[in-house]
Amino acid sequence: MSMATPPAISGSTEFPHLFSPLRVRGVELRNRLVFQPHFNGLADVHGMPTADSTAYLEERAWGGAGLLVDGSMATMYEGQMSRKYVAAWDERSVEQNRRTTDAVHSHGASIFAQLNHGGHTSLETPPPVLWAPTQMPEPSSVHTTKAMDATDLRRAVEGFAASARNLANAGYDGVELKIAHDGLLRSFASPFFNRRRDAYGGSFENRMRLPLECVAAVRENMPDEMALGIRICLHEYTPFGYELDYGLRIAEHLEASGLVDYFNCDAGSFSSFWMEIPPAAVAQGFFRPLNQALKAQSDLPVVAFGRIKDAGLAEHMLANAEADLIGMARQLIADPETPRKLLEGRANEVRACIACNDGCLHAVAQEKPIRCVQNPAAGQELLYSERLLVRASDPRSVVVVGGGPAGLKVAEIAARRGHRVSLFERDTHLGGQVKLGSRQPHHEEFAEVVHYLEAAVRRLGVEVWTGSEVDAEGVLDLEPDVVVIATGSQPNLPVSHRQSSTDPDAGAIARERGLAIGPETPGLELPCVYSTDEVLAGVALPGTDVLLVDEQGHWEAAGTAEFLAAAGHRVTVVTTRATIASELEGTNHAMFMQRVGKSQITLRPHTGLRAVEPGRALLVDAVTGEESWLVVDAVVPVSWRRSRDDLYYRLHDLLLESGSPIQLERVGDAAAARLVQTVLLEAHQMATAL
Amino acid sequence: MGLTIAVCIKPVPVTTRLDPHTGRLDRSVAHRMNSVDENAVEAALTLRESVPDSEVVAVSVAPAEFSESLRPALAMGADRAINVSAPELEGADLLGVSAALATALSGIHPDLVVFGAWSSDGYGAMLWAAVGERLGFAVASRAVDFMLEADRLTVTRQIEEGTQVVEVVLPAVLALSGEVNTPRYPSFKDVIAGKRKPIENLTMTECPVTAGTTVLSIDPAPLRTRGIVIQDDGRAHEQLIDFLALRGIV
Repeated sequence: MSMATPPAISGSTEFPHLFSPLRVRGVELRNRLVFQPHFNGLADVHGMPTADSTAYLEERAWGGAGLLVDGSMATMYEGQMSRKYVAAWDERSVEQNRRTTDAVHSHGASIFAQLNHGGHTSLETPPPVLWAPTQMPEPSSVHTTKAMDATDLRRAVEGFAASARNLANAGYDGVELKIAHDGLLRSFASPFFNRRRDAYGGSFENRMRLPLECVAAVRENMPDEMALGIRICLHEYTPFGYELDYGLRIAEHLEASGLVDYFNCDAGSFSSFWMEIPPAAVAQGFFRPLNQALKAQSDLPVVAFGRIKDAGLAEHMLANAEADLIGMARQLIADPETPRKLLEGRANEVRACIACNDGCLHAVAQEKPIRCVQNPAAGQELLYSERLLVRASDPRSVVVVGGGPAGLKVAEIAARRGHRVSLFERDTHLGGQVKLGSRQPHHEEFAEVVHYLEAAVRRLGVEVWTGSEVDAEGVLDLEPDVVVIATGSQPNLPVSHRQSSTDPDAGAIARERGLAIGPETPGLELPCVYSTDEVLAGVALPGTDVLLVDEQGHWEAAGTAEFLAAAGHRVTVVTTRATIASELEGTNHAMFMQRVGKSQITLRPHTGLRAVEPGRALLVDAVTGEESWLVVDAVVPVSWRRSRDDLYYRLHDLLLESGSPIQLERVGDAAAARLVQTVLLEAHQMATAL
Repeated sequence: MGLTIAVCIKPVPVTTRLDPHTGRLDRSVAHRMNSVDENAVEAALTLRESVPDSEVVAVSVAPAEFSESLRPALAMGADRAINVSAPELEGADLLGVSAALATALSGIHPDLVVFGAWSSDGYGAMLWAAVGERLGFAVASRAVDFMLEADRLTVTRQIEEGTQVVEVVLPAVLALSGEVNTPRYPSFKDVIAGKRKPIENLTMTECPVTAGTTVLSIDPAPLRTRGIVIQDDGRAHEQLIDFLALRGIV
């Protein structure tokens, strides 16, 4: 996917600071946008980078970033905190890494590599023993550690040296050492983790000895023009850890060595992992004071970090001299082309990161390859990069029924491929369930899924009809080549429930054919039972006490509980599983639990709903089978949603009868209710096959 | 005998961007019906209901490839649509477009011509006046309410001081003030019907254009610059006063 001539991605009237070049040691960066280092889970289980690793980074270079920092490379086996951390110490990693640096350079971007010794921290598949200055587990972890001896210390330094040589051979423009939210070097610098009384602990200078030895080893083992940077944790955000003043002291000490060319800011630790890669509940730009403090103290270039996705904010931060470079990881995962779009005056085409962490962090924390809700291609660029979209040789007329994320994504990709697309949405606004979901507390940014797609389909000239309920016969009158049913889903409540008066019962044909079943809990038809769709649409619930049944495990349940609590209700959440909101990504789950602790929400795991009667609900202990009544004013069951697929079956039968050649597809929740990430990928796949 | 009600529609680019070379709107992108023109169509359809056998004709002046922008008007209920184009009209100004539109309108002999309040690309909000002048029609602008009885149109106008009620005798031009009504959503059946209605594409052989405006240059809005931060060492108030005094503010 290389291009012959690297395009210049600098110089912009709208964002002059973002698109001005900057020299870091011997490296000329074309602009100020930095793709921040992160574990992407794309290496193989032996720590060897893959073609996917290369394509992932190349995509961001093509998209216009000035600097990419290829993250999460291990300096030795004992420091490989996941088996998918790139084994930088191993010469066998050089060949594929060289392909990566060549690909990135061919697009005019620069690329550094980040080295980390995992030390006391680990992910899914850690090495058999974890190394640390002093024997103790990281408080959030179950693994205890081995206190390093003199040989270990020497080997740790050698690991950095050997890795630096390999990285130089692979063509990287610089190396960044991680003294950040995980890893050995921060644990040595930390007064909490390092209680040694030898030359490597006791005093501040001694605690900094190993980090400085590793910095020196890296500097000595790479060419003079290569840059050396430090990813530095400025604030650990734990009750026992260090704060900003100590973080700044570490930076000052490192800078005084004269070996460092730039700083890349960072915060948090494994014991405050929600601050490492904060979800949407943490405000954008939350960490600006940390960046500012380091920038004020240091003479070196400073990379700002932390929930920066808005180009206006980024430009302002540079204009305001809060930093010299702007770090973005998730924004460039969500839209690799962000820099190029900004430069070309297409800022309104940028697809924003929604800080859900569902695709990126959730996957890599389980050692799975990185993904993204907003960008189906993330981590699988070789299959789904938007650069691979080809114009249809035979443009077809495509009718999409349903303007939720699935329908919109099909419309976007089909239109980009040159098909003639009309989209019909029965509601007066586009967005489907995303509109409802974004009404939950802390979920405003979720709406950006639809903001992007709606802007895209309108820009692409898709004919959009809202407030228009489609019927099967009418679809045939339109004489399309393809019909895509993306009519979504509805809560699986009985037909006799009030829901049917505003949202006509879905799935009757499927139930009749034994392809779907209705809910089987007695009493769900009662007026005191409310669907999540009703709740989020703003229907006021009676009384104070609400029972919310979480058989879904994700935000539809957890966020609705918070929505109800914010409206003044006392909410009891039950689930038959061991954990409420069991499917949430870790940082989101942690912050959800913190908020629950401060709200009128009571959690009862291992508890199921057996029946509803007016004013009370019969609960059952999922372990003992013991039953008990709970007095409640309203019940909100959150179970699997049923597909709104009646139109699909009607059309299916009509086409079969008439022998029509029209291609019929169904996508998204209309096929099976799922999370938006899966649905957008499915829609992308479908539209590329049309 | 019913009325012929013309409603003027402008196809506007879906993204507004000035072409740095020509200084004019970039029209290489997709176009759609100007959003407040939906209010004009709604008004025209409402007026049609008050006089039996009337028809609503949607009219635009645009390159033929943008004429599908008239389709929403047909789906809403307009009876037919006419688009007028001429190569000379590319980049035409108010004088040119009003002349072309007036010529096109003359061809259908309208009793009433309805305009939306403005276009989302140019925000000129003057075309209705120019067309009225060229047709010699009475003009009632900034309308928030209106009622048609026989050949008289009573219009409530929004003015600086409040509202004003005027009466005009047809033929007339009615220009709305903002989003004065709620445009109807065409049903699926209406959409299908709209797709079957004709859009007549006419090319002007003699284009009555008088180009009055030439774009000399365009400049981007001034950039935000870093503000001045005064660290208070006990004399900040003096520096602040100096700052304001230097600029003649105090």
